[in-house]
Amino acid sequence: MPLIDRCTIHRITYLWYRRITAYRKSNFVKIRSNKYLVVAIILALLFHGTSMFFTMEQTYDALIHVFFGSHYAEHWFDTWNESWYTGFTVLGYPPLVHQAIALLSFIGGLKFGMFTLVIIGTLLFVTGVYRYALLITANRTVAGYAALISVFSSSFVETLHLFGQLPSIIGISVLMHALPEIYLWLKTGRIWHLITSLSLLAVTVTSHHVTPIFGMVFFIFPLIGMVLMDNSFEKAGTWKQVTLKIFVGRFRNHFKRILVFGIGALVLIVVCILPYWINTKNNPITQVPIPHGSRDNFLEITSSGLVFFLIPWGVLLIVLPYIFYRYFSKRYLFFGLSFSLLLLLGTGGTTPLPKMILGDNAFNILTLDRFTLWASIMALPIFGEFLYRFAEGDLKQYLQKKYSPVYHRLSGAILAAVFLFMTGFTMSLGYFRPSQPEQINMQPLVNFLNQDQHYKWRYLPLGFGDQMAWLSAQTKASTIDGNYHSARRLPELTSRAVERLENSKFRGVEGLGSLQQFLAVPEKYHLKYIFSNDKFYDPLLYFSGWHRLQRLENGIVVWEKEGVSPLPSRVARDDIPVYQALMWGTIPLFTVFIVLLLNLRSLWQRTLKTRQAVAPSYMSFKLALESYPKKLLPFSRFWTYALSVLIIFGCIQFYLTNSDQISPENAVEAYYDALDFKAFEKSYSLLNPNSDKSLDQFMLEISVSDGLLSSYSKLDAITTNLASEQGDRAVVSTKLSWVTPLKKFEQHIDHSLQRIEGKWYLDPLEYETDIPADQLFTTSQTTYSNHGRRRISSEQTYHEDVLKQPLVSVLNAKLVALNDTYHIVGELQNMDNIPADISIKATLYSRNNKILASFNARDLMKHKLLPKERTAFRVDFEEYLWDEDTSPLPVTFDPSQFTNARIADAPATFELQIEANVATKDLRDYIAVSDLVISQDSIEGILYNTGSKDATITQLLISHLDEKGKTSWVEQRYISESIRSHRKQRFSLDIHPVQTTLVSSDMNNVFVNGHPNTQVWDIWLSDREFASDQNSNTKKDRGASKYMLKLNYFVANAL
Amino acid sequence: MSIGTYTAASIVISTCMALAILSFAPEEDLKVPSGFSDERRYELLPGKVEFLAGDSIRIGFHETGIESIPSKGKNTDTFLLWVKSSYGSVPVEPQTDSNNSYFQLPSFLCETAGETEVLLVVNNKITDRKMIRILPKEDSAITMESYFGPPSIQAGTADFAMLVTLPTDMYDNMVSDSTMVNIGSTFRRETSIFNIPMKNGYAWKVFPSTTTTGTYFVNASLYGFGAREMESEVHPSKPVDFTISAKREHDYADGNRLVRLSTSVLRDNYGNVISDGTLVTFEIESEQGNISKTSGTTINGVSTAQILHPDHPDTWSVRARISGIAESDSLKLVFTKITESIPINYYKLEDNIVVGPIISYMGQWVSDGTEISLFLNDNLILRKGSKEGIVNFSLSKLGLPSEKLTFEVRALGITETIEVER
Repeated sequence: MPLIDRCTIHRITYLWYRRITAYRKSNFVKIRSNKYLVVAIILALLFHGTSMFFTMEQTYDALIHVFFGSHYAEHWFDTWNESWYTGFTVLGYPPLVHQAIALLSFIGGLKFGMFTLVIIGTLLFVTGVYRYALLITANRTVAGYAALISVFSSSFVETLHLFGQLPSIIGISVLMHALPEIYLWLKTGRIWHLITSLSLLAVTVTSHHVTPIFGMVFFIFPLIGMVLMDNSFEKAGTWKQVTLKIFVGRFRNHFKRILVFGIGALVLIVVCILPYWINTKNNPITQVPIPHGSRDNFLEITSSGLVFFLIPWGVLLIVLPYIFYRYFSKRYLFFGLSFSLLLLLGTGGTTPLPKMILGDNAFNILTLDRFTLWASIMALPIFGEFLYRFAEGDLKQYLQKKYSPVYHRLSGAILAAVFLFMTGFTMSLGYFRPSQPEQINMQPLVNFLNQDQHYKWRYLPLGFGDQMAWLSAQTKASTIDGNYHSARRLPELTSRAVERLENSKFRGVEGLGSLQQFLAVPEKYHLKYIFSNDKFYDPLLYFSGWHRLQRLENGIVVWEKEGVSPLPSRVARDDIPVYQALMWGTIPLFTVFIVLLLNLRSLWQRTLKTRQAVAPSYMSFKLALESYPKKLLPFSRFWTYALSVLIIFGCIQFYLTNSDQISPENAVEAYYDALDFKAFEKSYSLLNPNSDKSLDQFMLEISVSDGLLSSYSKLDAITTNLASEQGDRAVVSTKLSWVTPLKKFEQHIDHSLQRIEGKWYLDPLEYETDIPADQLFTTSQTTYSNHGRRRISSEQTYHEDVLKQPLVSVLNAKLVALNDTYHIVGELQNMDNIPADISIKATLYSRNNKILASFNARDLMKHKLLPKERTAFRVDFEEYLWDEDTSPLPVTFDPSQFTNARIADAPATFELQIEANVATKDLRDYIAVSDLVISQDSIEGILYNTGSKDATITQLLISHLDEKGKTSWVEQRYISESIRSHRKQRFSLDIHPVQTTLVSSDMNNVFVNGHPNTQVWDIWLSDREFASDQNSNTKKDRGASKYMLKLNYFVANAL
Repeated sequence: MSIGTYTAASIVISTCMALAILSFAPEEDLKVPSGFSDERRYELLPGKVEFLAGDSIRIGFHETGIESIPSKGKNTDTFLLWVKSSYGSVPVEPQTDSNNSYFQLPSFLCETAGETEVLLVVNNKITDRKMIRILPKEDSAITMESYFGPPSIQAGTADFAMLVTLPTDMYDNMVSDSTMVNIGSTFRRETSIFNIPMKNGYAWKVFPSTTTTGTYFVNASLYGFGAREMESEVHPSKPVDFTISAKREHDYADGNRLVRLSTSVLRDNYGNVISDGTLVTFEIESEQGNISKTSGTTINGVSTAQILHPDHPDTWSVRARISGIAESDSLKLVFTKITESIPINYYKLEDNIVVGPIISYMGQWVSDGTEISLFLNDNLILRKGSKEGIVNFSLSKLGLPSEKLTFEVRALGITETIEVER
């Protein structure tokens, strides 16, 4: 090889050196580390990195992402998850964050993955805000300020520590990192910037789908506008000379770059999460809109206003005039427009405008809080600029000169105080007003599901809050519920605006309605176990035929249903083509890899200042910030004062309406409010101090009262009416409506009150003085126990361990019609010598033997029968689907709400399938009825508990008998107070004869344990004497209607 | 048709198809011997045709007239043994030792009991065939698969339990027909042994229900190899009519004490005490025809239930029922009143009606919680429980009009009136 002349090499090197130094001299700026940014990062790590351990697990969403993470950790390329909703596809959510959690979980578990991502997200956010602010203001100090306040920004704190929206945060942070690159591509046209900007956009797409789509509209469009403005400025020389004509010309000039970027972005959005789009097209979201606080009218529902408006805006509200002023300057005009639109959309249902802009569909699907988040993030650079001017810039000088340094310092202190208060308030909101139940130790549940093959059935958690996702992440058992509602498939769920079955009590009719369906027909879903963390649901479970199995060491009560078959080993699933699964599994992390590859060098150089970087072109648009706009100041001051007045006025208003003892009505309302929230001392303080009731006595009386109203209800509405007022005495007639899991209760109480020293007090209500006969008494009872498997073995149950199904006989049954609805009523008896747990499945057939409807008897029967015990039953045919018409939803919940099945044809015959299994629990019959007086329109009597356990809730099943003594109708009533042991409880019920039309009394299709009922009848009941059964509860000659009473009661402390 | 039927049908069809494939596929693959060879040059050696399952089965062959077959290398003929057994058809290649060739049946064929036909195939032609029999190895460890059920039957003549047993040898072959299986049963201390012959692979015995309750313990064994003990309970039959009795501390209608109602020992029509836990309902009709009802479950045949004394003089007729099946005679209970009159006073200053102190049968206050009702124009205004014999109705708290009013006080079956001018 010929040698190259040394001199030549020297020459070339020298020339390059000359060129580079010349370039440096002209363009390079000496850059020091931005101390504000460094402080911001350290603060962010300290503040969020420590507080996350106390907040993240109580957030709404974080555990859902952990659950998805657990899915990818187990089956990376499988997009079908069987844990929730009888199986759903995970294609409904971009997977990057979940896959990252999964990847990190291999190092330190799922929660380690989540916390690591929180740290990464926080870092990305703070640095993102810095880069975005630098792009907007071209001022490193201002950008530093913006980064500093971003750490404590209440909207960021709320989104992370209250909502737990990790993907959303990572998405917007990466988008902010992309913005400078996009600017540079559009401005300079360097391909390198196009590549980096698109690569960052790809990460955004794979971490959150909504962010890039709306980010295009709200962040990138204004950015394009700003680039064009900057270019126009460069062309025109001054901002004043920038005209529309120049602007349009610049647009034409840059059109190619915009187009290239636009197409690139679009391709990325489509390709990176292609399976998501295909899935969305194939399985459109059928979910009925689920109410969300961000769509409320914030003035009406102030709690939503607080969470979705006041908190995220926080201190930004004060500087709103400045933000508007700056964003509506020529350069930022498009940001101003975008900001205004975001602000407006974030107000939800307060005005009809957001709904008009977004359209009904999008309005009902999107949660609008994200617009507020984006708006508040968009405002951060300008807020930073304001703070800079206020703290060390022209505003400070102006204020100090015009007023005094004290004025400046004082307003600074107030501003800082408000800012920090909002941050602290947001952070601790979850502590003061917990949105989640206490943290549940999941290990006992996981162990329970693993034991004895319990995972072969589905389970349902109740009252778990968002922690249900954490349980799902740890067990392979599946549930019918879930926490990602757009992925649902069961029409029972999609047709109802229920967030989760687990917290269905908060969703009123629809919630409880959905839950009731699952409880009534559990075998359809292979649902056998319910974990109850909220005793509110207990009565509902009991009267639906479930029984308590055990209380686990974490306090969760396990309920079980007899006779439910296990899940088949293969469950239906939707498979997707392999290429899609591969794309889904590889692209997201690949995008991160690409970004790291492209940016690692510049990141290294930027952070460690190994090489002096070229100042990006946006840095040349730095504003002097020398003279604070004088005209803005009075306006800002007015705005601040107005805001303060508004807040003070709100506080006074709040105090006045909540002042307790101003009027008799207020006193009564306050009393019940305190009772409802179990603030017994407060309610005691409202009782007449002249009465001889001591706090001890009051608390004692409270402690012995139990029952549906005192333990399982929520005060729904209270109306007070001043019945009479004479001097210092008044009588307030009070109507209370309570909601309980079983029915709505109306209560009417006349309270007498006395005014003492200007304050109204209630006279305490009389309590029972009844004293039971014996101090100590005994009861003897036959109890039952079933071993299950007699040998401890994981094999299937041996056949000799399987008990015989109890023999049950249907005494009478018929299909009746009542006002266009169909019901099957009848009576059955346990003929066996062992107790029976009974479920009844009824099917209606048309004349052509077509199945019309099918449903199970739920609470209109006693499910657990002692040997020879009888129960009346009624099967109603409930529609699986909620009414399709979108009639306005009832505001409060009514557990008795019921949607009748739409029956296409006239039913002609019916089929009853009775399944009896051996019952061992909840077998009690200790309530005696005394002095039963049945008149034409009422039943009165006294219930007396002869047993040793309190009957918490008593159900009266009332059968209407026809002249032959057969059941013609069945109805039920609940007694609102508990019947304590050896105590009596008076009851009085209105009852009216029900005119039903007999459709069929053909009992040929009645089957017991698969055998014809007639067969049972022939063998065992041929000599049955029916005469003795009639009139059993009624006086012989009282009217045509005769009634029979059957008692069924729930004992709360049975375990 | 139910899903079960479909499943059953599909299982049957798929089993048939699998069997068909199993039985046909190998023959197609392995070129079924096309037919008998005319020239019977080779034949199977005579010898043992009966084997015990698990024995090694070796089948020799030879050229007609010649004692031994030269080893394979010196012969161009191809030999194959086609074995047709209950598992299907299997070809077996010959093996050669020092001077003879023979066929060694694979062990799974040697372990399967039943008739097996072996065909000698030479150059794809069948040249000889014979039947061999493999008998179950009955003296080996026998596995008894037995079922006895249902777990409970009802006393009487109609119901029965049944024992079915399927003994198999160590290779899971059914035991031969007519083999006697020993079935033992113990019922109420009496043990009996039955010898039941096997038929079609199983033996069974019906145990008819008895008129006395108890537990059947049964067991099946063969050649000393037994199955585990199994049981079925004879539950009592339907109960018959019975009598009842009542126990009370006193006869006063104080509305506080309890009457304890008990049945006689409930028995079925064969005299067995009925099962514990059977629900008995006591129905009480008062003089006015009001109904009271209480219930109890039986323990050792006796059911006991409690109910409150009435708070007014009354005569009860009590009857107990096991719904639709049996009932008792009627029992009369008389309750006498505890007081003759109720003192009532109105105190204008406090605007109070004070009822009492009501004095009970031996001069004591009526028990706390005795219900006193205040009526105005036959409308119930307030009902309160007494405390230390007294009830205080504070009219000012009731928001009643300030005029002359006539109140009625009703308690313990007594009605008193009072005129009040407020």
